[in-house]
Amino acid sequence: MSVNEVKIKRAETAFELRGTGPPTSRTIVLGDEDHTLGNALRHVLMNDPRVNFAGYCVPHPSEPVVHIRVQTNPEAKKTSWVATTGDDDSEDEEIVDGENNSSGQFTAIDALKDACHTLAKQCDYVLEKLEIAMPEVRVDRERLKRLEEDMMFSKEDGGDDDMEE
Amino acid sequence: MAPHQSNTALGSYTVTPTSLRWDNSTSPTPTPFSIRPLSRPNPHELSFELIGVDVSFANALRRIMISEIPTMALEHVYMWNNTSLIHDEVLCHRLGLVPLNVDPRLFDEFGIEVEEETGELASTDRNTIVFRLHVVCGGNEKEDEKMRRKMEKKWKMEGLVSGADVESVQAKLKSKKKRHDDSDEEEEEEQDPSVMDVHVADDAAKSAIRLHNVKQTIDSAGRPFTRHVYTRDLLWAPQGDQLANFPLHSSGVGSGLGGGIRPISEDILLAKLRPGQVIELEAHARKGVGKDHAKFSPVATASYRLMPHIEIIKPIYDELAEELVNWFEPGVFTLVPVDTKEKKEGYKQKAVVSNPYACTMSRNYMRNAELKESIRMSRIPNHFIFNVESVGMMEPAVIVAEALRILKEKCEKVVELADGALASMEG
Repeated sequence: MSVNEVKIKRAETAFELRGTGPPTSRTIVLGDEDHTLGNALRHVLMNDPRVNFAGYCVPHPSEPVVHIRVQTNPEAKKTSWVATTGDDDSEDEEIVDGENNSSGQFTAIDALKDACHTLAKQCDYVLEKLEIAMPEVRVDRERLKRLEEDMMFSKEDGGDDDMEE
Repeated sequence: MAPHQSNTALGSYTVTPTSLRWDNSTSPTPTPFSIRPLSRPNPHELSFELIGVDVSFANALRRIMISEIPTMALEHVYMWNNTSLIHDEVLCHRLGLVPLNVDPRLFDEFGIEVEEETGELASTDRNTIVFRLHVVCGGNEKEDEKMRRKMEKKWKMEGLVSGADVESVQAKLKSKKKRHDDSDEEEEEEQDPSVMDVHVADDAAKSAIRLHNVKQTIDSAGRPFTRHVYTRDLLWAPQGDQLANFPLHSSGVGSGLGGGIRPISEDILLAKLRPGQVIELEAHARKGVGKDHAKFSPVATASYRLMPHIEIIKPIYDELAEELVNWFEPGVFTLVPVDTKEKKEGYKQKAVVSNPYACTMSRNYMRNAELKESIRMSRIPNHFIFNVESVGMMEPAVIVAEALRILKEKCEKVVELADGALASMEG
């Protein structure tokens, strides 16, 4: 559009798995992330007893990349915790087509996904308590829902572009 | 090799040849979670405490509040004419920093939709807010007034909305409301307005600067007239559905919607003009995040501190206690009468910790060698006191809620990416 258009630089890859060898040890490379998510996930991973090692780093501050290293206990098995999030059938059944380990071994990616689910649940919980402690949050949420519904209706009515300029 | 273990106050490390374990459960019961507002000095500021979460979570919230909550701000400025002394880029920079009083969640992100014919990015009424600025400085005050009135007439016909328009609509609404309310309210408290009250000072300043007949300029003979360009001179050009969705008469709930789309403050000085100088420009507001540019940050700042923990190792009495109370912030320590056993020993009063929230961990008390030995200060690791100052487009509690939602979105995105990577590995 213009000569001085500045485009926000995105990271090259949004997600990459590094690591040869058993699937219990992996480095996950996340693009467009930083300490915000890296440290939070690392902390949740550390508290998982099936995880032997969890660490994160930002290789260079100029690049929006985070490396998360996860090593799980090879004897640990997947539990049904992941099932509560809705991926009910695939995760805790042992023999599933396409799974890396038909024995239900707790891989590094499983640990990462578990940690993400835990963190998401934690956000939900804090949000719930926040709404109780500060009622304006609930008022705002309902108002926003109503406004968005109104806007959706006016959009579906066929667009009013001719009304104003 | 035997596992090596080391214990710290917060937990213990266990190192074996194949694993490293960190166990932060020094107490059998973890700190229970609680969140509680502490104070709201004004509608834009909130102080609350968050207990029982880890520092990485609290820090994640703080980082997201500062840099990853989207807001609307002027981004693209089309300069038609600028003969003022303020350079184009400086003026555009100042325009970008003007905060807009609009709830950013009602707008879409720019740069996603593409127009079919030209292949360029589409600006629609759902992702762009258009403002215009057209100021001409007259030779003297009278001339300036005349020119301004002429231009205002023209703008009204084009449907452009100025700060004065919104003010007049809102004033009419208020007077209508007051006529209804007058029957209910008998007296209104007539307190002597003190200048220390921020609102009074604000209103006074507002009415002083209000509109154009104010001698702001330094009066000396022969000094040319100076036209000050304020944010109230910015004209909102409603596109598409915007006037219907953001009506001028809406009172707005919270700090977001209210009276069309205007900057949060109408008194921000943008530029100064001398006779004959003109500024004419069109500015488009887009959605962005603080990571990209600080103008998009919805908080003046958001910060947290850890709860101070003050322990009295040796009891402190009488004059020493009085000195202690003065070293600390008011309210941290109070003097209480001693109990009978201590009375027998001849003491009259002693100091107890009463409000650790007020303590800022200054170590002034250490200047007294005796006090230095009697007090131990530390921080409680899982107890955070947040302070969120909103710029004004969203309430501070709402900003905290948005930060939590964004953190959740990030986690869900990672799960999605991980599933995608797994699927592509097997496929």
